[in-house]
Amino acid sequence: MDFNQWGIIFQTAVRMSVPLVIVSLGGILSIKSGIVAMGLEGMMLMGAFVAAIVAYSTGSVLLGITASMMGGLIMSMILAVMVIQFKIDQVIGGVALNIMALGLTTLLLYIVWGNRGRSAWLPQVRTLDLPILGRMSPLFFVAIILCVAVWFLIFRTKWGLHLRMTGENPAAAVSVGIQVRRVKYTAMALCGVLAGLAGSYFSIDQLNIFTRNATAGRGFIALSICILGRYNPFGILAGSFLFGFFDALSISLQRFGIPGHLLQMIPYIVTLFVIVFGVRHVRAPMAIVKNLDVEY
Amino acid sequence: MTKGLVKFLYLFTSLIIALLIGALLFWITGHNPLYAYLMMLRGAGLFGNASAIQNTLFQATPVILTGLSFVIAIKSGIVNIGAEGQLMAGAMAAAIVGHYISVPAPIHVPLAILAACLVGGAVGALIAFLKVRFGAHAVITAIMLNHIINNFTSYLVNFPLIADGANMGYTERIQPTANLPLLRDWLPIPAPYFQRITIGVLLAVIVPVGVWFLFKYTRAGYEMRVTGRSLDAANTAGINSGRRMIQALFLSGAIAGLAGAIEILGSMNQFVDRFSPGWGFDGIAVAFLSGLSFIGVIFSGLFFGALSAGSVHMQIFARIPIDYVMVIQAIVIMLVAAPRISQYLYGLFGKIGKKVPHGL
Repeated sequence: MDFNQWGIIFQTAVRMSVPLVIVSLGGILSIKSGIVAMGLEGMMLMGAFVAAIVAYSTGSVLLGITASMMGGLIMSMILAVMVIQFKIDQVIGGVALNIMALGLTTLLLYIVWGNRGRSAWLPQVRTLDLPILGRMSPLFFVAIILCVAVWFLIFRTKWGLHLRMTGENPAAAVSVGIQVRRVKYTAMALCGVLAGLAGSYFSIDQLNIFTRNATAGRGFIALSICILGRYNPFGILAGSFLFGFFDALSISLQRFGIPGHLLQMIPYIVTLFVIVFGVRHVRAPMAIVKNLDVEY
Repeated sequence: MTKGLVKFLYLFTSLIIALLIGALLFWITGHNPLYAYLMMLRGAGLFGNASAIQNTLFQATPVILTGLSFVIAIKSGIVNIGAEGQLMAGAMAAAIVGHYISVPAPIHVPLAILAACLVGGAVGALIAFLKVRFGAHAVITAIMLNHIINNFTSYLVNFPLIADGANMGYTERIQPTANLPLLRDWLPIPAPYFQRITIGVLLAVIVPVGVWFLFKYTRAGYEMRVTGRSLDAANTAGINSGRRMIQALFLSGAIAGLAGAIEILGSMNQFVDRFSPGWGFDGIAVAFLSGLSFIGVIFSGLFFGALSAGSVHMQIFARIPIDYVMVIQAIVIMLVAAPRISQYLYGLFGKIGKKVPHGL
């Protein structure tokens, strides 16, 4: 491959990593509050669908994107209530949320467009033509800004301190008067908004169609990016680019006659390797997954 | 009331609540809930239609086994949501052995099943091995393996193993010697009932009982249970917990693989690209509805089998999409797996209930 092709791969890699950055930021917020973000996939999928349906019926992609955040928020609140209020096992709750999202979106897909596989053509976000990066969605800039904003929120604000204390040791957090419950709900709400926003990328941004299970496991890839990025917003920038790169590579290799089925395995294999070998010394917040018996 | 009855009542109530929420969903989306459920009951064979009853059994068989697979794993301390991939991998192994190996029938069927169990089990054991050895999160590795296996079997079925003259992804048919024997050849079953039913259905009853025995009465099963309850306790007691987890996940994956083999050898007779409608995930709901019980999955699997068969009928004859069932499943999981809710329901039926009945 000559320089030009690598240039295209680079551009595609950046394009593919934009939603991963945004959803992983949501994942970090959730994880930092002590809730493992197993439901990211479902929130993203719902975001993608809601964006599709609102953009389709209003013709406005801006409204679609706004609505996608609401879609993600609703799903994340379902999970938050189940986890915080009813103490469901976080992993099981997330898995159930993903099943629910897949069922609901497919159902609504059929009801709205009369097809269980795909929607009608949708309006699409207009791309910008940038130097070096090529055609890029405006969400690229949003992702960069969000990255800085989330870093600032977690590490430089009082709320961020409360968030981290909640995730590390809820009992101690309660003892100094932090409203742990409220912190968790807020973190989950932000997580849902971000995941939903990332979801819109898969329906009305890169594509102009919503297909069944449009996010195809990206929520779980985002989880491994969170770990790979050491739960740090800037770390996940690098992690997302890595996955974007392999996504781009699998797309560009199709020209060489390698069957797409094999190439589509690449991002998942990479995730597997990262999860197994890349994250030995990354420590999650102490209280994660445990629904500690603290009355908060 | 006995503890078992209380548990049954609370699981049953959760189910009713889920069905009521499902009814609400039907109503919101413009369908008559009574009509929808009536169509489901008819499609599930509750009005005695022989073919509908068989459909229910066909749908129940794989989800009983994937449900069992989930219960085995969670009792041993790992959430195995990789049943979907393990089922597909097993099905592919069965399809390959079924077509490319020529041996007499009494050997062929067990051989194909064995191949499926080994492949499915290997995938399951891999998940546990990566967790034990490298601390990799089992849910993420399982999901990734699901995607990898789905794509890889898609590749196999579309390129090297595609049937002659096929224009879409399916393999050559298995040889007649690899077909699962029909139950009617063995037992005197009056027509029209159960004419298409194979010994696969029988396996879906025998295997859970066997696993229950293993966990209740053998040392291996006991050590797996201890590992699942408390890793620290297991290690303190000198149990090789890592090894037990890997063994348990091998068993879990093997049973998911068996579900795939039964589909190939018993009903489809060839591997069709992405044939599973999500049986691996249905198993999670089946497992929770059973209260995470080895024997209970037979009944909850039968229920979800009826739900699936009914919803297919509903889709065809009432034009109501089948995806409602998925939502109902998710609600069942949430209701049964949430301690605060189950505690409340549990306490409602028995004064004994302060303790959560299942070991999550």
